[in-house]
Amino acid sequence: MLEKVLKLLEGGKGIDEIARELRVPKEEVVGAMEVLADLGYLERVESGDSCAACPLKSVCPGSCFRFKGRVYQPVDFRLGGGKGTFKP
Amino acid sequence: MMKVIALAGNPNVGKTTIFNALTGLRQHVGNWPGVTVEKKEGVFEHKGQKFLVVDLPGTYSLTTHSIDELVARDFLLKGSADVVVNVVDATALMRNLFLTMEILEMGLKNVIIALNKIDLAEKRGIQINVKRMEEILGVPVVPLNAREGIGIDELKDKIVQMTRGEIKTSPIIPRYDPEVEREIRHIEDALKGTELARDYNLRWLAVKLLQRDDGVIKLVLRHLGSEKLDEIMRHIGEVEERYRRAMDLIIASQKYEFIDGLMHRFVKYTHEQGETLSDQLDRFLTHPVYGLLALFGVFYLLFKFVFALGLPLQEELDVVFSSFGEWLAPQIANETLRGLVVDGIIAGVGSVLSFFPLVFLLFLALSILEDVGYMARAAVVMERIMRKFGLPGKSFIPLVLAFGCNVPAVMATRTLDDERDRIITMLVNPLIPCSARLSVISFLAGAFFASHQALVALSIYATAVLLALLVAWLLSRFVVRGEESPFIIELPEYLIPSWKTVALHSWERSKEFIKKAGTIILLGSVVIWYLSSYPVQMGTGGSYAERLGALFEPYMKLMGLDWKAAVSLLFGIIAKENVISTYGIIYGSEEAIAGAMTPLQAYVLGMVTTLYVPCIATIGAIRAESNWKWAAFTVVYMIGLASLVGILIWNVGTALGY
Repeated sequence: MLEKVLKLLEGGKGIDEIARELRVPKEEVVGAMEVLADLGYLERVESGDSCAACPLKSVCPGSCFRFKGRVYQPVDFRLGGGKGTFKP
Repeated sequence: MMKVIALAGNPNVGKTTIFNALTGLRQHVGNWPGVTVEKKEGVFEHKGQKFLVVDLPGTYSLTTHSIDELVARDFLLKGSADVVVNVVDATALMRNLFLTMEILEMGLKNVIIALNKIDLAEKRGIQINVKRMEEILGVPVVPLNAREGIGIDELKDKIVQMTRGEIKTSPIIPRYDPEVEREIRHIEDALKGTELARDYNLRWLAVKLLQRDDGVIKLVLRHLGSEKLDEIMRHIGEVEERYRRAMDLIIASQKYEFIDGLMHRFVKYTHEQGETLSDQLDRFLTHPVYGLLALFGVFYLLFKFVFALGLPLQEELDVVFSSFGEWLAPQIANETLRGLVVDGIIAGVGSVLSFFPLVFLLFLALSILEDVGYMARAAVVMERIMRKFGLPGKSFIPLVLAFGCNVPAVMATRTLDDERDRIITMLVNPLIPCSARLSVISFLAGAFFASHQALVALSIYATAVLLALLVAWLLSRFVVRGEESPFIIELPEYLIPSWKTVALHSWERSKEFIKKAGTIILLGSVVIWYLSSYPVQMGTGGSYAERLGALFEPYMKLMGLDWKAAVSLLFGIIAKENVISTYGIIYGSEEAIAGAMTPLQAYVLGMVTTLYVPCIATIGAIRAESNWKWAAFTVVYMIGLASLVGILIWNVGTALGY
């Protein structure tokens, strides 16, 4: 299932579509994504700390958007020389 | 001596609820030694025995890619716990059992599974045969509904029994393909004669080595030497070549298959996992066409709400500031001081501050949409469109942040690894209308468009976003090319917002607007007043402001605007709200402004204000995040774009008779 999820994600499929296609609850797809992220095949995209960390907070209207979803992106990976040094 | 109980599990499975139910108020929060990961400990007593409960960081696996995982893994590996309570969410068994398998694979025998949310699983038609699960996994399983406190006493009983050695376990160990198993045995054999055999489970070490775990590689290197280790790693590389995949993925994937096989033996889905109301809503709100229509609809209603409630309040506030100025004027004898305070500060800052109700209502509406969970859905729709226009997936978050403020949005481009992606995102970013520009748009829409304010504001926003997408497309096609990358957004649950949180958040955001009015707008108002009053009063054509504006007037006329627009736009570079304060100082009142321009001119001014040069803070942020060259390029292309759009709207509008 893990590899199927990765393949579908790389193909641009969303969580709902994958859950329907693999006939598993959405929570299981998200869980598989978390495991893939732990392994380094997906990247958890940080949405930043918006205004809190901004040095210009005192002069800006302090109206940063609060993004509540979690965002992932497949990591470009190739066997024998991919993204990280820990990879083969 | 107190027995130590470790609580391990995925994030959000109810670990903290169980921890609280076990320990009550007898808790202590600190940090794990050497790292800034929170360590929670608590004490409980059951059947005359005292226990120390340690809440391990929530993790999905026990790799060493994050500090949380490392902390949890080290604690378990060192055998620091007398009992490991693995909290498992019954509604998402597969992903939870992945961690369970990682724990059991370590060779730990003192494991109890706390099967939480069993009530919720039953409601969703997931039937778990707990007895069978216990037999198959080889460790005790305690069903729980921790929120209601159901099953906590049974869990305590099992903990006591395990610490007294009254429970015998035979934990299941995940099995892999014959080829992987052969590799595991090969590594196990190589490690057998070393000291590692005394301290670690060799099968676990072998699996981790196959997965190229950094920590285990270093450990094995110390005991086996580089020659032997190189030979093992070479061997692993050969297996990977045969599988055409990396070993960590092969092992994780086969572990998932193993769990799937186990689950078939103790889990039954009694009814189809049908579509919930939330799923149906998501399908509509994130649909490429309906989702976009919904987005326009929601934002139209948002502007309608802001204008309908905010404009009457804004008018009242405007009257208050004008009356205050009229009352104060005779109290100040000194003419220069009177001019500065009444015509400069009160007229300038007052005209901006009168928009506070609109700003507050906008933030209130946005906070509600965020808390309900709609904004994340809107983001999915926008991301899909952005991707079509060649924007890199990761640029989506900085661009969404830009609707609030462009400065942190420019800074958020740091999350983009690729330099070209960063540059595109940074260059497009200032085209997204920030909330400061909203007050200018509201000011013009309110003053010149009595019945269609919401539509006017929405059209300016939509045009700006469309232009941002077009510019991104042009840049990614001709200037900085990059590859499109898929992007996945996990949507939050729909929630009824907490009014307290919404009000607090709206106020936090709005109070910055007041702060800004009291600092940068105040300073701007003083300067604008000076320029419009010296060396001679405005109206003679000789004031500094008139002279300055006259320099740009021929150019502004191409867009149907005059020198006053030029001066206000110049000051708008410092802060966009200065466009309003400049008009406030030049004309003195909103009625006077309304009589000085046609709706078409106001629309052009609104559009040009939204699209021209970003504020000085944003330019500074772009320079800091890239260089002067890109900051200058942004200024130049935005002036060009704003002029082009302004000239086009003015000429088309006049040709159509507006």
